[in-house]
Amino acid sequence: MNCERAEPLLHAQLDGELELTASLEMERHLAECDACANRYRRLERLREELAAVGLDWSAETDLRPLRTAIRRDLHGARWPWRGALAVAATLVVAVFFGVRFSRPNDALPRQVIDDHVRSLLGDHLVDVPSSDRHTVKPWFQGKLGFSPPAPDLSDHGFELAGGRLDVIAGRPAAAIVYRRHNHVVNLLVSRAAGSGPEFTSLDGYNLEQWHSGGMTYWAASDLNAAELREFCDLVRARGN
Amino acid sequence: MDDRRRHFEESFWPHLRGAYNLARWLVGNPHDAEDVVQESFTRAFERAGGFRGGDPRTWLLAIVRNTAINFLQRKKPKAEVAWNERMAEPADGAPDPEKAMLRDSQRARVRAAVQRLPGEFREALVLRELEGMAYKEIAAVLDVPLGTVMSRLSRARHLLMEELLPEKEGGL
Repeated sequence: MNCERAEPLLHAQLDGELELTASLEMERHLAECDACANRYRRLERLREELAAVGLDWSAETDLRPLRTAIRRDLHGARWPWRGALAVAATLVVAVFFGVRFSRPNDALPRQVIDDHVRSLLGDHLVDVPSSDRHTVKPWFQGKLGFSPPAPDLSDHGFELAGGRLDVIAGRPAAAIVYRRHNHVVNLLVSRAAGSGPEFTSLDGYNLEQWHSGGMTYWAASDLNAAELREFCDLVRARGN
Repeated sequence: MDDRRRHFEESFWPHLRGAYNLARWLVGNPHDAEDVVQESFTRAFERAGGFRGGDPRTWLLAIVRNTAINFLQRKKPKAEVAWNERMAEPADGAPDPEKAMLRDSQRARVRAAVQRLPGEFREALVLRELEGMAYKEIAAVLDVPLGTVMSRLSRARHLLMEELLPEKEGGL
């Protein structure tokens, strides 16, 4: 091992992240090379300093009131009633303060994510529960002025769970619901003009938005960004 | 419902301290940290259906982190700047005997240096040095690749060494 290879790996050595052979090689190099050995000792000293001082705030904080408050929250959870109330309260607050808190483009992504969260509460995820696209797609006929896509994505692990009528930005919207493992994806389709960024992350939920054929599409989920992108690419590719 | 809550508490109570520490290092004061942790637990409970096996600590800390960042962005629209850039030295205001004493202590000096790190570096450092997490776990909490964890940790440490361990001081 030479210095050029060793230097970026000093941190990994310190953190015990090197595999055994690499770690042994590193030890040999540190025994031979003063410059790297010095760098390594500085890293060790920093670690000692941090440990001596202690980064642990909890050790000097009485967490009992916090624990009590959380426990009260959890015990008060009359699911889903309380959650729905919380979302309603959030919406009221958002209506009052939204303009001040958010950049103009934030309002719609916020609304779609709130909608996604609301759909997870209680039992109103779908109006028409079905894993068959030939059941879900016709169900929307006559209820909306358009026909939303409901492609079969089960070969990629996204199982169709059903459809639901929704409202986005005051316009009727179709919600097509998919599941991957325990994650729910809400695919919302509406004629409402979409504003806001292509990708938004709010409250731990990810939202991707795009336009196609005069419609706006949103996909909201707690899937990570890469998986959500995979989902959106599939929908874009397969359409109906 | 009770089973669900008991199961949730068994999985997540042990990580209350870790959650509090991370929140405290991210938002910078005890009051907001408590709010963030409380909100995170509620959110974790609501989403516990989405938690399947896996490591509860990683899962919870990812929620804490997102909640804290949302909180910072809500609090000041400019938080992105504060999050990504190194914070300025705290201004030396009017003499305050209590603050002066704190400032003198080594603990305050080191902690202030950590607190001034850009948020991305600070969170990686705290998860490694305080929570003792493996790179893989840190990558999961921060939702970034392993290489990014390594480079952020190394940047964090170099900034801290510059400030806390000047080379002239003994050359180590």
